[in-house]
Amino acid sequence: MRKQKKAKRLAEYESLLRDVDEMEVPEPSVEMDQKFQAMLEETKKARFLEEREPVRRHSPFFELGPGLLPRLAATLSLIIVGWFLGYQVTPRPERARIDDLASEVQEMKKTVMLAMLENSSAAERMKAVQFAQELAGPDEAVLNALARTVNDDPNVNVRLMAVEALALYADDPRVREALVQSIVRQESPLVQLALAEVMLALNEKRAVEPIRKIIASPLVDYSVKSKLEATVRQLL
Amino acid sequence: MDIKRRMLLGVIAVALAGLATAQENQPQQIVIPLTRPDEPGKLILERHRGSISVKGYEGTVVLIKAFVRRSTGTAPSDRDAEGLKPVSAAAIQLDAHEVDNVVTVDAHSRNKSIDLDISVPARFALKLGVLDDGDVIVDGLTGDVEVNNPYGRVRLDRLTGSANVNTVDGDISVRFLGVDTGVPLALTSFHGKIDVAFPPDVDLTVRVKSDEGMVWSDFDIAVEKRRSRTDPAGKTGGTRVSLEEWTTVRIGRGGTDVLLKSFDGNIYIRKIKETPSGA
Repeated sequence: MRKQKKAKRLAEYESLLRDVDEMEVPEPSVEMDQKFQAMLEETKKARFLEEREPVRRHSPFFELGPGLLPRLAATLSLIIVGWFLGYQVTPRPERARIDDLASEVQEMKKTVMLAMLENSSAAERMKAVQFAQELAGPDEAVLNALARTVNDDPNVNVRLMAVEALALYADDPRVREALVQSIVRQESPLVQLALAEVMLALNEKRAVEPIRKIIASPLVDYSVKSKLEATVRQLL
Repeated sequence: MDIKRRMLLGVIAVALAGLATAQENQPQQIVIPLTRPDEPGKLILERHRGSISVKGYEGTVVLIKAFVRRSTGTAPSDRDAEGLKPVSAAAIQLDAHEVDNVVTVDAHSRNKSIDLDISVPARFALKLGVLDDGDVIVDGLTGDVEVNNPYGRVRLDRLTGSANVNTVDGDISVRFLGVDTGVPLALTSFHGKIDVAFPPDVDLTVRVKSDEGMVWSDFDIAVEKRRSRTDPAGKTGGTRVSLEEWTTVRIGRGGTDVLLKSFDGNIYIRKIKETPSGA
């Protein structure tokens, strides 16, 4: 079986080889040789050019053509958009931390201010009152401390400034109440008049009674008395 | 241990003077050493009846002289004493104690005013309060000076620290040789004049107001049109609190806050022209 197959294959090869022998082989012409040389030259030239050109093509800065500006602009805008996106996409925790820090600073300012109000130097307490006015949205602790200062600070000038500071927050009913309450506690004519002015500006009718008490006092200064009487008339 | 030492030094000096001297103006005198002589200190003297004069000097102790005020009238208040000469003078009780460079002084007599003449190291701060019957005169201190003298005058000269003064009737006069930036100054009176002088090169932000008086100055002054002090919360539609307006002026580049207020006294803000000779 195997022998048979081999014999068949041999016969095929024989006929193939015979066919190849019979094929006519054309003689190479002179023309062909020249053509080949020309093609070779051309290819060499092309390779040479290709090797030189990259220097020019990939360095846009030598090429101050009109294409440069748009390309630069595009690059810049990509950078900006990237930065912007990056900023937007910054993880939340970090921004929250910044907010935390800001509120911590605010908290610290408040603590410092409250401590300064207890200082034995009047100059320090005046600074504290100024500070309190600069605090964004003072809370109850700050307003209470200012109210205490209006009532009890041993220094007239500090009390005077505290009245002004509190008057800025007279929208708060508790602040108003505190200001009304402190009228009768004031002995300094400057502070008495400052409070009366605030009451007038607020049109606070509850102030009439305490102001009348001051007017009735035998110790009251004459100028204070006439000013306060005018205030009462305007309030009623 | 430091505390113990301080306690030890705590009550340093108590001078009691019931001396039977016929001479009324014989001063009582005490000397108070300091715990830390090279550091700034403070003198506190409140609810005093009589005048107080305080001078800064080069020394390191506090020196207090107390004089009984000479009776101004010749007639003795006691009818039974008519025709007699006083044998015992009014007693002065002069107490002073020092704790950690803070000297607290108390000088009183049952029925007389006492005038005090005090020398302190120049770096001292003062807190002085007079109830009645006296003026306050201070000279040459670098510390903060706080004075409350409702009925008398206050004159502070050659200061380089801050000043915080309040009177009701008395005039206030203050001359600064320099201004400690950042520490606010406040001079207020009800009926008194306020006369304050600064060196020509100061930088101040002055809030000034005299309800019924005038304000004068020879400084080149930039008036800041300040927001009327209205509702800073703003736009709440709620109450607007507008106090009668203060004038805010800038001297130099602006800086240290100065508050000057009198109800019906004039206010003078002066420029010190000649360089102070120190005399």
